[in-house]
Order: sequence, then C-alpha cells, then structure tokens
Amino acid sequence: MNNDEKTVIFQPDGTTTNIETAKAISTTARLLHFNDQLKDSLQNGIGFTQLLDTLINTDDPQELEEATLRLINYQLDSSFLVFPQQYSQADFYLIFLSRLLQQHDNEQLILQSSQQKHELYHEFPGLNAEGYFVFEVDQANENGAYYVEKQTNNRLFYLNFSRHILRINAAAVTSLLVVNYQEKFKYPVVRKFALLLIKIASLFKEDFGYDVDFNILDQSNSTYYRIIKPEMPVQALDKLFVAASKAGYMLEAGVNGEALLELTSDLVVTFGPETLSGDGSQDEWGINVKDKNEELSWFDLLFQYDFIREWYLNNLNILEIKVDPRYFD
Amino acid sequence: MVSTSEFELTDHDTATATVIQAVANKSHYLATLHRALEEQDDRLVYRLINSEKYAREIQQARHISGDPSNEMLVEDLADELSSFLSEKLITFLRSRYPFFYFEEVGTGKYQFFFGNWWGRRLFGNLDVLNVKFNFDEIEYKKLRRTFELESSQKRLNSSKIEQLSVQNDKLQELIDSQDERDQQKAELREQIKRTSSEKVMPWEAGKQREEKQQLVDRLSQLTDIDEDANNAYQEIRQNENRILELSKEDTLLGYEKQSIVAKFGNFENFEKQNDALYRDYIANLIATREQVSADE
Repeated sequence: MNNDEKTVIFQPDGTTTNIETAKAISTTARLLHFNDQLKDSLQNGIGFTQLLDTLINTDDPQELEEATLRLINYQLDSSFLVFPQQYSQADFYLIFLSRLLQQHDNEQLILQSSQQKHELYHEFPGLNAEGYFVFEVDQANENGAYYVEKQTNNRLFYLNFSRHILRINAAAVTSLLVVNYQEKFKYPVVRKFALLLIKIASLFKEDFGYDVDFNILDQSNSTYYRIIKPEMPVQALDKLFVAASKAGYMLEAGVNGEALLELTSDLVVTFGPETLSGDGSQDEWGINVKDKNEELSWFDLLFQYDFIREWYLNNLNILEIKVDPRYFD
Repeated sequence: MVSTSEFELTDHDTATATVIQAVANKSHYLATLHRALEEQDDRLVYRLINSEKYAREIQQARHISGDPSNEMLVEDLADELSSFLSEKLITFLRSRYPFFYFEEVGTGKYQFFFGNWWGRRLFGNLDVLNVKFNFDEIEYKKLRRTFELESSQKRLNSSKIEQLSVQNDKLQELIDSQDERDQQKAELREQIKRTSSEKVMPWEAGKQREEKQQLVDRLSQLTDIDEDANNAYQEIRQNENRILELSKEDTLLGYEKQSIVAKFGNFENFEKQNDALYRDYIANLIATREQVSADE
C-alpha cells in the first residue's frame, strides 16, 4: 500500500476535498494492530495455561518451582483481553506447596477452596476448623510470602523464591502450637502438624538447596536455639530451678557455668553459652536439646512438660527464641 | 692458775656434741619426712607434721609429747604439703561425702560446694593438714535449722514467703480497687461542690463547714491510698524477687538435706562423721597401705 497517495473525496454538493490518506490506512492498521494484540494476548493466555499444566502435572520439583515463580509474576490480563476467573498470587504459593508435598507422596495438607472468600486454603486433618492456612504475599520483598493461620494471624514461616530462603517463626509456633493448640489438642496431633512443617522446610533444603532456619522446630542435637537476650538470664534460671524441683526434676550446674536439665536419661536440655568462635570471644546464650534419637525440638518439650511451658511463657520477654528480624517483627 | 673472777663456761666438746645431736635430730626428722614423701606414705607424713594430734587421736596416748620444734621446720611448706596430701584425701572425701564438690583455689587451698545443682552454695573450705572441714557458718546454720524444722514439716523460709505473699495480695487489691476509688473520689468531689454552693442560714454555716471538711478529709484519704497503689507495682516486683530468692534457698536446702539423709540417715550422724574425720582417714590410710603391702 502506498501511504503517500492522497484520497479525493467527492462531496454530494459537487465539491471535492483532498485529505491525507493516513486516516483510512490507519483504520486498517488499527484493525491489524488490534488483531495482533488479540493474538498476542491469546498467546499469552496459552503460555499461562502451559505453565499451569506444568504446575498441575510435573513430577520434577525444579520445573514446579520455575513454573510457580513465573505464574506468580505472570501478567495475564492485557488491555485487549481480560480473564475474569483467576487465581491470586497467594493461591499459587499454596498450590505449589501442595504439589511439592504430593511429589513426595505426602498428602497431609488438604487444598480447599473457600467460595465465600474466593480463595484457596489448606486444611490439616486433626486440626480441622482450628487451622485455616493460607499464604500472604510479602509486600516488601519480591517473590516472598508468609504461610499464615488466618484466624489467629500467626505467620508460621516465610518463604522467598528469589532469596532462596525459608524461615520458621518461633513466636507464631509458640503462640499457635504451644499455647492455642496445646489447650485443644493432644500432643500426637499437634506433633504431626509440627513434623509436617519440618518436612516442608526440609524439602526446600533438599530439593532446592534453600537456606532454611528450622528455628524452634530444629531437631538437631547440635542446635543452639538463640535467645533474644544474649546474656545468661540467671534469675529466670533460678525460677526454673525452683519450678523443676517442684515437678521432680533437678536443674544442675555444668562445669562451664551452664545449667543442665535431665528430663530422662535420653533427654537433656542445656541452658548456656555456645562458643561461636574458637577463642570464646563470641559466646552467645542459647538453649540446646539433646535426645537419643534426635527427633525432639524445644517445641516438643514446651508442649509436653507443663513446668517448662509455664516457665517459658511467663518469661518470654527474656527467653523468646530469636527469629530472622528481616522477615518477622 | 685459774682466775676466780671468770665464770665457768661450758666445755666446748659438750657444746659440740649437743649441737651436733640437735642437728642430727632435725636431719633425721627431715630425712624421715623426705622418705615418707617419696614413698607416698601419707599417714607417716601426717604423723610427722603434727605428732601431737596424731598421738592424741590415733594412738590415744595418755601422755602426749609433741615434736613442735621439728615440725616448725616445715611450717612454711604448709601449702606444698597440703597440695601433696590433698590427692588421696579428696579421693577419700568424695566417697564419704559424694555431695561435696572440691575446687582448688590456690596451691594446697581448696573450697567446696554443696551439690551439683544450679545455684549450689559454696559451703566452706578444706583444711587438708588437719583433715577438717571449715564450714561456712551462716550456710551451715541454715542447714542445721532445716533439719530442726523437719518435725514441724516446715522449710526454712516458709513463713517469710507466706508473709510476702500475703503482702503482695494486699498490694494487688490496692491496684485492683483503683476504679472503685476513682468513682468514690468523683462522688466526693461532686458532694464537696454541692455543699460549698449550698446557701444556708448563718447559724448553719459552722455545720456546713464541718461537713465539707469531712468530705475533704475522706478525699485526701483516698488520694493517699492511690499513692500507695502507684508504688504497689514496684513493691510487688521487689517482693516477688525476694520470694524467688527464698524459694531458691529452700530448694537448695531441700536438696542438701536429701543428700545428707541419703548418705548418713540424719544430721547427727553427719556431724559425728565430721568430728571423727581425722581418725577415720588415718585408719583408712593404714588399711589401704596394709592392703597394698599384702598385695605386693
């Protein structure tokens, strides 16, 4: 088409008008442009469905993670094509987690859909209505989200796809599992849920090499749970000494100034400084749990031993387990 | 001719013989001690460094003659001798008093703690040369008192803790009744206002002033209580800290008492054992030595 040609319009009154052809050509161009945009938008939609296919079907954790990361950042709607039915970013995190567990033959979390709130949520059999778990997208950091019990607003852990980290939150675990659930459920039920959280965190570590902080749920015997106050809380330990004695246990003095609590012959808790550097200049105070099978964490003790729980909760202002301050306040 | 103005002097030969004898005696003493140390014969060392005590306690001799002049020779070696003798002694004490934990605080100087529990008390120091505990008097008295209170099923600090708890309850009440007081004060102020503005006959003015004064007094009473309530938080916290200290002490004493009962049955036996410690230990050294020679 020759864009330089001019169009002569013969008016009904016999006059003629010369106008620039641009307008007429523009209409065609616009149509073409519109069509192209539609095609692109549809193609964009197709691309989205392909990612969704992967999210739904893949057996490969890497593919799953990649598809999810792209889906949560996907600009599906365009000015030419709008999809009225869509999942939110938070939903994709949730689907991702369900699929990841499914890939490892773990079906403990049930993905539910709330018609009322137009969102997906997780339910854990045993906790049932007492647990409504969703993701909340981190507004401050890209590709990050909190796993939250929505009714109590407890942020159990933080996940970030870009930074490759997962952080468990001691404050939320304490408030939800140790205080709230302790009153409502038996230990085996809550322990099962705690084990699931540990499982999730481990999957991120093993499958994706994430930097994972198990925090209060860490079962390793070498873990020192860091306390918000770095110095040894002598008065709090005096209280534990008295409380333990009433409960039939003895808080013992260790050779390096630490305190030891032997709960069974296979289960010993140490309260004291861990030497971080060889020269002992960077000692930081913490709690260590050693059990024969390395399957118990500070959480388990808080749940099972009434005097320890009572003591810990009454002295949270000095004893609380430290969490990553970048993601939890 | 011998001048009569001269005093008669000791014969030099006698003097020589005497002093040689004296030095030989000391040499002999030191040589014996030397050998005893080399042979790890702690019993003999004990006898040599305090023969009077040894004679009295072990041989139960009626006429005791010590050897203080020779013993003075090693007086300045007290710390070193103590360090030497401590090894066997502390091993022995660990089996007799499993609840005492010894710590060396300088050459031949030892202190000991009661128990291995958190906050265990420093209970005294060990006099190795006399095989004797020097208990910390204050701590020891507390323990004795704990045993005395056994019959009344009380702990040393039971009544003090009780007192402080009652006091805290009262203080808490003061805090809890603040709203009530605020309401009363508002009412009183209202009444005072009303009384002041009421027009009365001149002959009733006196009575009115009196009424008003009563209300004002009542109001200031309440403000005084408010003041107490304001200080109550801090007082409660102080009392709680004190209660913690006292409960901790009771817990410690409880463990100490249990330890003594487990090993000695009662406090009297414990004290008897302490009094007989030197004899028991030397007897133990003799028995061990005989055992060793029999084995050889």
